[in-house]
Amino acid sequence: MGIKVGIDLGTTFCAVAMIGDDGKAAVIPNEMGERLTPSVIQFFDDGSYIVGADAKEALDYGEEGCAAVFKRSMGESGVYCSFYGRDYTAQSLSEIMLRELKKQAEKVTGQRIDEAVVTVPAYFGELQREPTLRAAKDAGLNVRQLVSEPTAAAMNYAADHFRENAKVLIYDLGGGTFDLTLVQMKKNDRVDVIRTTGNSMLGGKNWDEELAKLLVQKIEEDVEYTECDIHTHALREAEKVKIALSSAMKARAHFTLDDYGSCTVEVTREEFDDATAHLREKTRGLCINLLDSMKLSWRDINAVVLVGGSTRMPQIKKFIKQMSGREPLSRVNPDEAVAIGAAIMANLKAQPYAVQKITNDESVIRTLRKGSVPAKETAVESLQKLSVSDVVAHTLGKVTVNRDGTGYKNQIIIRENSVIPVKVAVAEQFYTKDEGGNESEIIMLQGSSENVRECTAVCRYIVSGIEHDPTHNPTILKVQYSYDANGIVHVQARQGDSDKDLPAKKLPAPDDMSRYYEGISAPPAKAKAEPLRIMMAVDVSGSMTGRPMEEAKKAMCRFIDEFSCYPGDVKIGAMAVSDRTQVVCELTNDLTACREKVGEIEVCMTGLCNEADPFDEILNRLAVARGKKVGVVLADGVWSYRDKAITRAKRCAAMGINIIGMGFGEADEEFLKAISSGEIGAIKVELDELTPTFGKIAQELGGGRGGKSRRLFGGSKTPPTECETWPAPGEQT
Amino acid sequence: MSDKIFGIDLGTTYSCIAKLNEDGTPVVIENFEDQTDTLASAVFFESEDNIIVGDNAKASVEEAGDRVVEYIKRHIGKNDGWSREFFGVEYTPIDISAMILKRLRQMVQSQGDEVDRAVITCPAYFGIAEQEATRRAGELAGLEVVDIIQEPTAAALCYCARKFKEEKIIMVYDLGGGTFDVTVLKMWLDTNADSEEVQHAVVLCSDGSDMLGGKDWDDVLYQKLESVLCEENGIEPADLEPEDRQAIRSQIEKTKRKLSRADSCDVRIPYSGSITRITVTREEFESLTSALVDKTMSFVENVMGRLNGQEVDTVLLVGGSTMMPMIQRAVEARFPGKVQQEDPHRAVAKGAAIYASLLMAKDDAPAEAEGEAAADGETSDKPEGRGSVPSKDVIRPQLPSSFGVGVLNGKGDYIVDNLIKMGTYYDEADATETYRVPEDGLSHIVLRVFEDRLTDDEVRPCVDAYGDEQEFDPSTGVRLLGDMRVDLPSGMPKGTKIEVNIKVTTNGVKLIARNLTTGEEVPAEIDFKIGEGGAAANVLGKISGE
Repeated sequence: MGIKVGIDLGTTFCAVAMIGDDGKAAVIPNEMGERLTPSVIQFFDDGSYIVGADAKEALDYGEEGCAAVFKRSMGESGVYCSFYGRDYTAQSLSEIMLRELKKQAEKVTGQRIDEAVVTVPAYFGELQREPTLRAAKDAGLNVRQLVSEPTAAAMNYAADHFRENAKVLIYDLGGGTFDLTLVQMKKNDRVDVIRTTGNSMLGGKNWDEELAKLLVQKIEEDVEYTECDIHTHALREAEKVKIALSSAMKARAHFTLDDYGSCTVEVTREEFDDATAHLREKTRGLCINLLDSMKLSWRDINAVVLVGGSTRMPQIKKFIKQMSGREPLSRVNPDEAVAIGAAIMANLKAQPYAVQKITNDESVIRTLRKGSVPAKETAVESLQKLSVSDVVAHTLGKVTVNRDGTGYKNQIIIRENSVIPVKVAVAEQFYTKDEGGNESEIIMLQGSSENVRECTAVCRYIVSGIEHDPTHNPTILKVQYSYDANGIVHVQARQGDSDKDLPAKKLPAPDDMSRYYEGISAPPAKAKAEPLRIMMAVDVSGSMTGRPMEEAKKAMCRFIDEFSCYPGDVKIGAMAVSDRTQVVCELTNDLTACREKVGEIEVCMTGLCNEADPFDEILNRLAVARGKKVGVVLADGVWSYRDKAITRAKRCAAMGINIIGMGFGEADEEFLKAISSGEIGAIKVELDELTPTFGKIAQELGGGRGGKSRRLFGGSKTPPTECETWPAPGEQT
Repeated sequence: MSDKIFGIDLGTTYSCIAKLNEDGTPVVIENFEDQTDTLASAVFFESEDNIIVGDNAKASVEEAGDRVVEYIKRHIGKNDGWSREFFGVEYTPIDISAMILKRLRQMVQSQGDEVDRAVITCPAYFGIAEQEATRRAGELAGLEVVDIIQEPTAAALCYCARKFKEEKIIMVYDLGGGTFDVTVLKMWLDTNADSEEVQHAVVLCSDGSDMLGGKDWDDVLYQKLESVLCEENGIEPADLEPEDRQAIRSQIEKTKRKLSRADSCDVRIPYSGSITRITVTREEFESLTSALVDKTMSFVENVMGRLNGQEVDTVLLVGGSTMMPMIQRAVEARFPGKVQQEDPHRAVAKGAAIYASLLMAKDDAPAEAEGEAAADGETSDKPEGRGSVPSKDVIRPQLPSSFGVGVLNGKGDYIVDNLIKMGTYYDEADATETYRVPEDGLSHIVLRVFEDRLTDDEVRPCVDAYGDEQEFDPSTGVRLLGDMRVDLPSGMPKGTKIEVNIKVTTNGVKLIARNLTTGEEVPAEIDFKIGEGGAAANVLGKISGE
């Protein structure tokens, strides 16, 4: 039986930890006996490489082929670096690191790694977590879970210092990143991560940079001019000076300049602190925002816990004391807290271990003493009780057409700081084409703004297999976003009440999102479109009984729907015609009411035959109307007084009323053409095509927006509304 | 006030502090500042207001060597007059040691725990004066020093406390940063009157040198790197600046560690704007230092010689320097199959913590013990100054040295008659012997008291009966502690019997000389010159990291 480990894959250093036989988590030293392995790789021209301290030294001395701080570029497509003709991405470099860490840990402990928990910064979104997971798997690791670094650090702290109801702020300043996390310890040994924030470009390296600049500045004060590139040297010295200034009040750095000779500069702690004040202030802003967002003050915080090597700097401790009013706690090993927390999490439901083989290495954990308390059982027992809840770092949504169809917006589905695992589903109307091949495109956005331009497009999914059912068009398309325990997002789609997920193909996000930016920045403009007056008349004679009547009503409703976002003044009315005419709904802006009234139309309500025609009514109502005037007439056969109808239709035309004659079944095409006027003219279709045709006509008249894109976004009538969720992948039902 | 007792290894080059967990395992307190679990025993007086203890002090040696103190353990309790002045204040070895102990306390405090009581370890060769000076340093640092135990004993406890019942002979080979000690102990478990298990550990013999340690290996490596660096750059060692020397020094530790794990190591040393790369192979390093290894083995042989043929059951390797494969090989070759190594850097501190916990267990029943003793009418003469632990000791404290008086032997030579041998239990450190006045008509005799590290009955003194006085003979370890004068009434004949009673406590030696003819008694007390300290008290607050 192998071991379960926690791996801190840090920007500047990595560590691997496990739980020993004494029940305590401890870091496994690497082959060189060091507990921290620098995240540096040096490549050679034959493709071979070295990892760790030797590579870091090579880097410090400016040698070729070194790759470092690649974690900052995780998730970015494209090559991170190239050496000797070979390209490397952040993912492939991380894979190399992980493979090496695994190899060395297995060698030192003499055991196989069965499972690993790998940590990632809290701010890592889908774009960065996925490649991390893949790098770990490709490195041969069986990853149990991806865990946020601050969560792991919180677990480490909580394991030894649990206090019910304590609110703890974890201040993690590492080599490359800053993470701030608010953690609440609850009853029953539960640790809740309430909120997390941070700055992915702020870390010890920034302090090194400032110090290097300070050193260079001082050199330039002494030495008027030098051709030498002292920056690399200064950076290397800066790291040493920074460490020295953690206990000394001044430190010296030595340089040898080719054209000048040797030069020594001295830096005081005060100067260093002053030069880096702005970096500290950045963390202050994040602290204040976090507290404000939770309506908390510093007094509500029970402890501030330091994590990350950079918190060794006395300036940080002083700063936190001044800001929060209390001394920050150094209760956990700042460099190892994350790896140790991850090891604890890797073993949360673990079984007691087989006895650890003792190696010659001085820091390996000892076997149990005979006769003493079986430490391991109790320790693992108490660890088991700790449970943790983590939160989502980013708000996720999808591109949707906005309400009035003037553009696109980000429809938020899952909000940041929701507790994971979490799933949310939204449903919207989706119009299917009858020619099949119905697909919907879901573009996933990361960001809390409703403005697409302010969000990041993460990826897109093409959902296919949507069935076309003419009797239910539009259909309901449900989209579900879920975050699993690793913080990885899954997208599922279902149609209507189906209990099967539709196939969804994942593709990279579109390179150019600019077409989705249009229209939002300007405030929703008031109607640019001209007023529209439409009178619909439907044949309700006996021949319409059954399906024809159903289809006709559906088609009319569809027609009305198309105008719900019309950017202008639209009035629609409806009437039934057979032996008589009856206006079921006068011209009205209230399209919902109109729709309802259309729904109430019954076959034969005005007689069984086609004695009458609707044109007089149409003329009465539309003759003096403003704007565009349209009469849509639907018939399935021939009307009795054909010529009279035609004459009256022409009279409408003369008054500027466009008549669209729609027919199906036995309708006479010639007749239809005779009564129609305007651009659209007469249309005869099959009964099946009635609804989509009405839809098309409506679009021609200015309803809806565009053709294809509207199809894809499932319509803009109603913004998606939340609906019931269904099982996410991997979820136990 | 925490009642937990910590174990402290106050080493020559590195110190370490440990405690026992609730589950009985010893755990070392980590030094977060230096990213390690030991604290370099180096003190740097950076300024009047800032004192640095630890790695950063060590790193300042080349640049500010005159304000850095290292290897202070070589001077503590020796009364050799060591003192240094920094920013107008005089510091003694006790002061410096107190600062290191204070830093250890701070380290633990910053992690949320308090150290008020501790057991501090000392080398086996420390005499009473050195032990008491260490105790004094602990008190100055704000500790209640519950006990002082010997390092090899601590290491042996760490390795095998309560592991076996039968008697075992254990050799501890301790190669530290600045010192080398080889000690043979006898350990066994038995059950006392209350059916409790009592672990016994008795030091049989010990040898070593406080001028031989890992540092010597460092120096060899330094010489090698320095000479190659100079050769490659066409310069002389004298041309090197302090920062260049520091650049070499800073590579030593990791090169040495690398060579313990790999066959060779590439070292990069910046010089004059470029990087000089030097490759050192393990083979080369081992051949350059083989003489040092041999030296340690010669001490081992000395000690084996004093065992009178007894075999050693186990050899424990202790001290960071025993990680070097050449050491492991040499000891394994001499004691095949018997060598054990576990946590060599921290075994002593952990052993001290284990010992501390055993003392704490005893603390639970002090009233009982005292009541018992009183009831029996015994005056349990608690060894003075040996802590508040009742007589049911786990480890009965033993004298680290032998004590005797200077007398003429049968042949007329002036020798030290070792009345109380090292290893004697403190509560039995009481001996009486009767001597004769050698000549007629002497007006007085002078009784000199000596301390030495030998178990022989008669030892060569460090002074002549009549001739030049010397207080200490480094070759024999014999030290003159003091003398007393016994007046003789006129006309005492040759052969008059004088009875001398000698009693050793942690403070000093008590003598009573009784003229058996007249009945007159002359008492004397000779205190150990432990050395003073106190300046440290004022500056403990300036230790960086508070």
